[in-house]
Amino acid sequence: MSAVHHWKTQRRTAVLLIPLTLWLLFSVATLSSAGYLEVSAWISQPLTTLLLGLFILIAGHHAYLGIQVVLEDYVHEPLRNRVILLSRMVLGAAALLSLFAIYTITTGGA
Amino acid sequence: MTAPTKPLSPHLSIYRPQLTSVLSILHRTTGVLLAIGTLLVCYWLFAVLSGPETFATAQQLFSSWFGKLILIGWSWAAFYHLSNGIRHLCWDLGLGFELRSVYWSGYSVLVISLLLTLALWSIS
Repeated sequence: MSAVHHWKTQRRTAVLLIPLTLWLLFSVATLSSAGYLEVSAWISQPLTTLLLGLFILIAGHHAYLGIQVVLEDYVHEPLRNRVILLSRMVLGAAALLSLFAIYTITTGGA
Repeated sequence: MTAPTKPLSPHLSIYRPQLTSVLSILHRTTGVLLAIGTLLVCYWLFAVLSGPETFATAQQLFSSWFGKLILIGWSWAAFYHLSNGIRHLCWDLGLGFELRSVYWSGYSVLVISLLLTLALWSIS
């Protein structure tokens, strides 16, 4: 990824995350005392499934870009690229697992 | 010919902390914490996926005093990173570069992030 593309993508994902993050935090806050059925019903609503999926993909990408910049600043050469790759794999795996969880909840449980 | 010496960052141990530098490093710190926090979202989704019993355990964990402390801190980190992120986006557009604006927006970001955290926990 070129530096310019990296910079632009970091900003674009940031702008998209402003409404998505506010929506997610305030929705989850209203669910704080909800039971299992209420929460899984909420996740299964089409709009929630869509926005939650988008949040996971965009937040994961934004997190990866940010972590990469931090690691480039603090980790020196022999290890740098390996640590960046590791961060990418961990964040990617978390995103994939989350999407899998949402999909399975939405289509009626494990 | 020897390579010219590159300029060094300010030495943090002798550099007086200022609002601007503290907010800047907080943006990084909260960013890294939020990235780690996405793993919590993953855990929560799997708790829902695994059924009522695992979900009840997760709810119990999150409603303990330690769980609450983590969640309150996490929500503040999210609101701080979000508001300060908007401050950064304004700078990217060339807005608010005067020293007075930088301080004014810095204090605003702190107040707004605290107010949003209060609002969030008052409805939860």
